[in-house]
Amino acid sequence: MANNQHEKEAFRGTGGLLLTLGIELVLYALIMAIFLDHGGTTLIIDVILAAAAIVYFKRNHALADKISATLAANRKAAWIGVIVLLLAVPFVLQASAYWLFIVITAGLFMMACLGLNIQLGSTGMMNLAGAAFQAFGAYTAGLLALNYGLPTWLTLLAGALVTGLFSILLFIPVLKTKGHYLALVTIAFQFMVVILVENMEWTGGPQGLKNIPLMNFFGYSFNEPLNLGFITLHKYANYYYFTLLLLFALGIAAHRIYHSWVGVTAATIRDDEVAAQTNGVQVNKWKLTLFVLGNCFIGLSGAFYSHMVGFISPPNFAFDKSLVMVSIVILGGMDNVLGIILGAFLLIILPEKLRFIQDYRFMIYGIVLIVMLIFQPRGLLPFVPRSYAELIQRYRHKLLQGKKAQGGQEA
Amino acid sequence: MSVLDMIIQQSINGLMLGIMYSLVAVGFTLYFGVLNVINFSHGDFFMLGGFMALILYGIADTLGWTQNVPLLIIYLFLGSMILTALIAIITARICVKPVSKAPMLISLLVTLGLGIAIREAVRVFYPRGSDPKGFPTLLPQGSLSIGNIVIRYENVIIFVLGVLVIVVVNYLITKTKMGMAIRAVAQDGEAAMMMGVDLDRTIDITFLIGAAVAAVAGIMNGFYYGQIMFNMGAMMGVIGFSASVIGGLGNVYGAIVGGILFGLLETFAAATLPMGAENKRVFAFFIVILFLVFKPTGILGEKVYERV
Amino acid sequence: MQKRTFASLLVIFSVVLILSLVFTACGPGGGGAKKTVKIAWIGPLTGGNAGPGIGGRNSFELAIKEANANPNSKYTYEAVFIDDECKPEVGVQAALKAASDPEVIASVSHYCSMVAISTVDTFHNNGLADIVWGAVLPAITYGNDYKEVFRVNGTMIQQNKVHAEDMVKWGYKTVSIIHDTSDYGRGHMEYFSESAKEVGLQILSVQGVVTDQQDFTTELTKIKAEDPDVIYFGGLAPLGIPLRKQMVKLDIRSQFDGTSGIKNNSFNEALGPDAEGVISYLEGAPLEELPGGMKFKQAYEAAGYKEPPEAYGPFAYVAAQLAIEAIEKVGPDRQKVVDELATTKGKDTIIGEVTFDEYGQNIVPLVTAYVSENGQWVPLSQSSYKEGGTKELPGITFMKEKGRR
Repeated sequence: MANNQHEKEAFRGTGGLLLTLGIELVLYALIMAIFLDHGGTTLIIDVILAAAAIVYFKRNHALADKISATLAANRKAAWIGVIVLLLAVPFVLQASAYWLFIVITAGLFMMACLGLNIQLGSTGMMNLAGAAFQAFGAYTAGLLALNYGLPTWLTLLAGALVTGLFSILLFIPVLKTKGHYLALVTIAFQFMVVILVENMEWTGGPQGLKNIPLMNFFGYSFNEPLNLGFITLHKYANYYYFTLLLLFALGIAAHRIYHSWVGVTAATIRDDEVAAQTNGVQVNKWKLTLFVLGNCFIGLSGAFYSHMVGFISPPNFAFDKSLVMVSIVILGGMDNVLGIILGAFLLIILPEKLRFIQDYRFMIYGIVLIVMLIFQPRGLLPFVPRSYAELIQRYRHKLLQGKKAQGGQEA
Repeated sequence: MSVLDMIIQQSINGLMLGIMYSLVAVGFTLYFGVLNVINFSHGDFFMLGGFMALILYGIADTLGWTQNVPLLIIYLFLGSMILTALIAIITARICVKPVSKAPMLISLLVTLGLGIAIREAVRVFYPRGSDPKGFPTLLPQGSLSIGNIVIRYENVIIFVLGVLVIVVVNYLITKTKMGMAIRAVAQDGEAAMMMGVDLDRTIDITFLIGAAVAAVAGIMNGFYYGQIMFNMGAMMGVIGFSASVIGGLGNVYGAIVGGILFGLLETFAAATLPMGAENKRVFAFFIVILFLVFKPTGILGEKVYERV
Repeated sequence: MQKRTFASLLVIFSVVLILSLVFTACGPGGGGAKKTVKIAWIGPLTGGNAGPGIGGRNSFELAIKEANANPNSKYTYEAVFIDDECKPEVGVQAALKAASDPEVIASVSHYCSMVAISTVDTFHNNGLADIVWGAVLPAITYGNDYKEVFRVNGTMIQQNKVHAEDMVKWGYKTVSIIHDTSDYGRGHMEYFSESAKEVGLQILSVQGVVTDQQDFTTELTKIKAEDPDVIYFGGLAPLGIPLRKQMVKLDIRSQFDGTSGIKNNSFNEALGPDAEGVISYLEGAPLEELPGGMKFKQAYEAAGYKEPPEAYGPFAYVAAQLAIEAIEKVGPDRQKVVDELATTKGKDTIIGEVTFDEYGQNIVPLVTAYVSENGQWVPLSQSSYKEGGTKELPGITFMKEKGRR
């Protein structure tokens, strides 16, 4: 019966399918138009449309519910649509390598933030040294490729692993401190790393590392334009597709971790460490494991960056970049992969578009950050308390009956 | 110069640096106590204090009020303290208070955002705001020598003023009714409200004190270095926070101890270690981490707070 | 009901799609008899180096305006300003932005060395001429053989060689060095140390400071004990100002010599009388000595810019002129413009003659010493501080007092 009701809520059949794909296409067109437009007109129109849509859907809950039900009903088609559209991005941005690069950069931020989210969102461990850990990955990959000529797949892997190893340096502080103190530990660590990298000889000092080999997998160089036979895409298309692949892999990994008992363990630690400890959770072991794992993600994004741009230097890994990472996770919604994507979009791509307001850009950035956090303190896509949501999904039928019997309302 | 002379001279340098760190650290300690918030925009109020004084000096200069130097100095300090505190109270009401109950990450990010907004506003709206700005020289410039050691009058004035400010703040907090309210809120906000403490007013007063003290530090910084710049608050915020933690969050005297210790650490790291000048902050931050791990309550901290 | 909502959604969707297509298609530009050619300018417009950045942007814009006002120009020029924030990462994006706009034919780029060095690959890969207007790190031109990279200003090698030789001429023997740990400061320190050793100067100490430092009393106290003839500072004004101020306060009367990074108005303005007698070296001829220089100064003022052009403004101006001339000659084609620029030889400009060597580096015949006199930067040879002039450099006075001269 419940299932039936669920079906009823959605637009059915071809109409539903068309609507699903239509919505995706509209959103896609709106976003791509932002990139293709040289000025900021499209952006302004988009913002107005988004605001109008939010107001409209707030008033018309029924329609919003219907649409989300439709999307849920057409899950498979929706995913295929998303994938096709994402694969099409380099084609759309063919004329504008710059925006493709920005999109890849946003992708790398997403990668790092997936890692950060494991620490921050899932386990509740503060990490304001994201950029410093990215530096470990980037310098490891860069130095290995430059000095030993190691292949890209190995340097990327090494970048991630070495970052994980170095994060053990913070082993004791991470376990022994929390909250504000852990925040300060990581801030101090961040500054130490950047100053040291700048002052050491073998890291290239302030001039950083130059001419890092660009990506090359078993003879296939990413530095050549991507020739598909019927069309030749810009060389950044290579990096784009690789980023996409990595993001999918890491996203699925993060998703799996989140839904496994490891994820539940993390949540118990975040929600109440003492309670977790008394219930037999090996708090220290898991905190460290997840801290290291998160940093591996961050290190990988750094290694990727160094192989994409070919040049890294200490200012690339300054404190404000750590702040951007944390902002993405929080603004998007903690412990929520979709939120991270939205956050990265808002904080990496939009400021780039806001260049036309030049001088006022950072001031507005700060103000927007404040306003968003005050009005949406749990992020734009706040996470749903997981176990209950899942349980409800799984046992929806029984629950509904139970609730109806009590005369309650469905939440 | 003998080694002893050098140590003494460098200690004086460290003390000067430390007293300014201390004044910024006081604010961190107060805000943490009352709102349980680490206000990362605090460093930018330090910067704002300096710029307010510069604007006030510009006004005085055009009106020709610059003959009576002591009066001018008092006018600069009071004016800047009032203006800075006013801005702090307004911004606190708008952005800090609404998030003080939110998870600490949110409050941290909001205050960071506030800091960025203030910093950039100064840069954009102050004429040619991205350049370093010269600060008027108003304090006496002479010095007295004891053996090889040179002590400048200016240093003495700044140091004494700094200590005085901290003593006054401590008096306000420990001996007055207003201070009692602040301490009550710090201990237990809800209980304090039940006892009739006006929470909003207490928060306003806390920000008034914190920002005014930061403004004093900003002006002292201007007098001492002869220059202020729109971005000088960012690093000061991090150092001020570190100093307040070393000293013990929540303890006003802890802030002074932490600030001076941080100043001395930096100075002696630069003076004695090989490659010390460029790596002194690495050393100082390393010590901060050690403190956090082994003595998280700080030097003068009283009890362990479990506030997560 | 269901159908209606669905239909209205479809309508919204198509309207939006059409709208966005329309806005994409109708970018700015179009119209006019002459073809519009874009030239990019990249430099810091926000952050701590925005001062010299804005000066460079204004000077660049002035050259564009002058070209557009010239009825003989074949094209209408449009300036594209991109902020690099003095951050390498942002610089790469900025260069890519310029490069991915096919209408941009040349780029006048970068004030900060670390940004300029990070973007040479991008310009090379896109075949876009990159005329550096302010960054002084030698490797930008000499570290690669990219034919797209040019530089109108000199490098720190030239600056420091002349600087060290001049020190010997003045009779100084000992130097203490302070530098910032960015590649600008560290690079200057390295090249200066090299030149200083060659000419026989004794370096007493080298101290690095981080770029956001304010307090130098520790370093200066050390230097005071060393008692050098000269303090050499490799770094920019935001550090130079407090350093000089604290030097005066600590009563260190050795000569204070800086690099090109302190030769800007804010140094004099912020320090007031304390700036008197400070020396700074800059590549190129002093503006006042060249016929076009005064014209530039007047034109700049007449254009109504509030901010001064700063030390490197004239270089940005010349870079823009070179780009425009090349485009006028060979047309708006990136490749041809690069080739044309490479042939630049003995061109008369407001910064002196410009000749690019095989690396695209302008072999500047001149490095000029400036001294701060009465709140202005004056070429040393024209100031009262010149040898046999009415005033004496503080360092010379100091050495005489100490009986070293």
